[in-house]
Amino acid sequence: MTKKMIFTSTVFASILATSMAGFASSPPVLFDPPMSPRNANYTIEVSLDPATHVLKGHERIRWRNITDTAASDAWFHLYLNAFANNKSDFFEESGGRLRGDTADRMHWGYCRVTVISLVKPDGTLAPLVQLFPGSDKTVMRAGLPFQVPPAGELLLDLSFEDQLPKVFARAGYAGNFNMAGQWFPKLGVFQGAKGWNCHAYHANSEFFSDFGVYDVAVTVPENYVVGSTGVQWGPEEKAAGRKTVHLHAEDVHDFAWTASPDFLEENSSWEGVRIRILMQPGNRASVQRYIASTKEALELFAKWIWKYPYQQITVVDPPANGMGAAGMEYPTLITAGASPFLPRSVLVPEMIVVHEFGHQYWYGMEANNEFEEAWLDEGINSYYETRIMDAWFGPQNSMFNGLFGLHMGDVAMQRVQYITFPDMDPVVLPAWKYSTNATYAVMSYSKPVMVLKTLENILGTEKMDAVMRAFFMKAKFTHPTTDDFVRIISEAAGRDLSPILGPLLHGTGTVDFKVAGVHNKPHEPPLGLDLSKNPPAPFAKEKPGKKGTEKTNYDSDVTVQRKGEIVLPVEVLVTFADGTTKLETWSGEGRYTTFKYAKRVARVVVDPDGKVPLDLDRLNNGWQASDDGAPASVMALRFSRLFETIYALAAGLF
Amino acid sequence: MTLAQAVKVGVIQGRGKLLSAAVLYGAPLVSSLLAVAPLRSGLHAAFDRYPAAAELMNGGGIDLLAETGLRQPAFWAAGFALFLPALLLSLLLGLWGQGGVYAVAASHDSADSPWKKIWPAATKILPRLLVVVLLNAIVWGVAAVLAAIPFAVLHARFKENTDPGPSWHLFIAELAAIVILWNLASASCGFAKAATALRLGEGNPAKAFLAGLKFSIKRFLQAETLTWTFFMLRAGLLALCFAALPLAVTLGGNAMKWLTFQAALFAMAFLRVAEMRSQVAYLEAAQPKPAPVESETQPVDAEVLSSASL
Repeated sequence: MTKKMIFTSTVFASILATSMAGFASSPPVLFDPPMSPRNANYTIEVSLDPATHVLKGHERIRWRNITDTAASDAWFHLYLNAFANNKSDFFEESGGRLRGDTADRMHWGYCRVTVISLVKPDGTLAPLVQLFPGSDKTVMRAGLPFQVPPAGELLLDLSFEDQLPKVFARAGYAGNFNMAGQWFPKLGVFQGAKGWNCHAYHANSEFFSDFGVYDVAVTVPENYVVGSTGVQWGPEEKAAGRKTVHLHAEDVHDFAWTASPDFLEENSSWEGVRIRILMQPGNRASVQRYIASTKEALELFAKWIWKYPYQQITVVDPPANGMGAAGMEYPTLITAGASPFLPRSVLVPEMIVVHEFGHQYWYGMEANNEFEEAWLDEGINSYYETRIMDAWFGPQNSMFNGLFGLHMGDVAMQRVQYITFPDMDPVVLPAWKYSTNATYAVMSYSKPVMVLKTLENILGTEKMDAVMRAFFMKAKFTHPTTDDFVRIISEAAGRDLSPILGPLLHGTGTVDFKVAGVHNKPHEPPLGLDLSKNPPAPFAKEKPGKKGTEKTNYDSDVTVQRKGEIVLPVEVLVTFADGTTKLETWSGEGRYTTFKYAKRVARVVVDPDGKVPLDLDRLNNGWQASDDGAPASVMALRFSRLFETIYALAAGLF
Repeated sequence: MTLAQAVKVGVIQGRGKLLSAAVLYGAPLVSSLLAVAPLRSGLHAAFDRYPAAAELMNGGGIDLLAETGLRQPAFWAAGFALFLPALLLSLLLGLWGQGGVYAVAASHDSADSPWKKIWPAATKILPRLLVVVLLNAIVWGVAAVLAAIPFAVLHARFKENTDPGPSWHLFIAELAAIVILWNLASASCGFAKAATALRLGEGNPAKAFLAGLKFSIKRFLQAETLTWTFFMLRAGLLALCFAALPLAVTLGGNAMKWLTFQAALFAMAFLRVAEMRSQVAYLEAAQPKPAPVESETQPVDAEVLSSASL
């Protein structure tokens, strides 16, 4: 222990000014007081070689131990090493194919730390040894010659070199488009007695890191347009055909940037928030779709959750040959995805922007561990994606808004995905442990939408908004877990929601309500002796029902069955032959329930308003006394037109 | 004869235009009725009993269809079982009908009514038209592959470049090439069929094909104009039909929509007949006049085709 040095925050404060002297000065102060703990702060200088797509960087990390346990080492993510070869965990798991994109096996990428040093109190550097504890080199560990005590600080100095791969799975280059995501050596999250949470980069997993302040100087060719997390400050420094752009972000847990000479910049704003759009010239027709989507999301998140606190949101439009970078979130920067050939009625560009913007809340500010509980950001965010899309376009049109006269809502789209793999894995599972990539997607995105939509219908939309707002306000700028979520929303709802959410999030149970039987029996009057009379006497003759009505003429019953393990309340709408209706509510307890009536039942619909989207089979939710062939006939006519058009082409009518 | 005169002949003159249109229109109609029959049964079996199916009426329920496919893997397979056979039937019926239409157009014999002429003529000419179509597919398939090579080279060259300028220009050039080639192939095939009906090449389909190809290249601009104009008219009509008809949410409304669609298809068939007749007139007029006939009577053509073959 004698050789180990103990760094305190006091000591560090005194050396910080000296150690940072070589970097650009006077970045703006964006948030005072800070919104987050700011315990992982980065100052980075990076230079892009446009011909080779190599980044040469130098970073200083100021890390503060915010746990009650001393740290004796530091763990880093070197995410780009996932693209170094086909033996990385990422490649082994994905097979080189992910998110609809295929890796270019001729253009690999890497992140190599050339030097890592400890900055001593006197400002001199003490080199550290790099260790690679994982099966690939996406995680690096550096042992420290001392322990960093609780509240103590650590200053590290690293030089690194990145080779950007061809765009695949979020980051890389495509022609002269460069997307620098997960590009710098980044600390994991120190969790006290549990040590560093620093997983390898898996195919399905995303990221996890601490909040901080980023000061980044990016040097690129002079004609390149740069977009990034945070804001640009100060003048661009130009020399020898290159320029250096100074970028600054506060209270974020990651930093991404992009550079291309082709970007067309469009700007807009919403209540003081600058909306910066970087478009591909060939796709400029989509710019208004991006702006409108961003504004809609800004407005509804402000209404439902919290006003977006950052000064800027940057929306990046990747080129057609770099769509692997599309649809990704970084703090205050998102990548969109659209094609000029996409019909206006297909709302995919809007959905992507709304979804990625939502991540500013669920991931950006509520920074859960995406490795271990991906649903907490992807699932909650997908739920808000459907809320916003539904509010904007209507629940029936929020995915296909009249495409060839057809329409489909975002929730319906998510539901189709959910029912494909409803029970192979639980929702809460480390990302690399799902049985397939598809079940990761279903359990992290689609099923949580079904769960939260069902919860919304149980609580009511107003209450749901209140409990979700309570969760966000308590969890923002922290690392909440599933348990935190259930606890906080239960407190806010004033009832324990764990009996509902526990099985849905941790189990693989399903629910399927079904009309098990409907019986319409003509009423049989009592015969024999009525024992309530003394002495027993024959029953009095019943009056027949009014002529022309069916009152008292039937003994009918409706049996509703609950298949699957999940117990949820459900409504049952019964329509009688005389046109009257009755709405019943069943708690879902037991396997079935029977409702009895004295009228002839004509139609039964379980969950008539679709309040339980978790229901696996909607068709068996209904029963009707007589077949209705109209829907099938209409569909047959529509298919007939489609077929005839194709056959007209074949027959030479065109 | 100018192209305009040929179009006038095609649109206005001659008998049997409505009958010809009906024959062309009938091929996709019969095929679609056949193909949709199992799908219709499947849809009724799947949905008639369930109230939830009502949302299919208003253009929604795509998820219901998807669900049904998930739950009953055979649902779509059984429903679409006759789709491909009906496609083949449509091809053959269409070609058979075209044979009849071309034969009637090429005939100058006013003794027989088109009704009597069209059916045997269609059957008689079908084998030769099949050969013509096959030759056309082979030759233009090869031409398309050859035309694609320079574009593939250019694509490889621009692959690394995100500058949208070259890619955009390349896309436009590709589109133009596709339109021109497709039109030329279509015109060549049409004129080859007309040549078959006119018995150019004395019944040899290969010679008729070459005659059509040669003619459409020799009169490239006219052939492109004729084909493109009629194609645009037909496509425009269909697009108008799709765009103008709102989503019908009742069975009656959908039936009306189907009937309107049939009217549009019949009009398209009429335009197609006009194009085919214009092709025949234009090709026929371009042929050298026959030598004056001397005392002996010309042998009567055993086929029901034009006795005025050149």
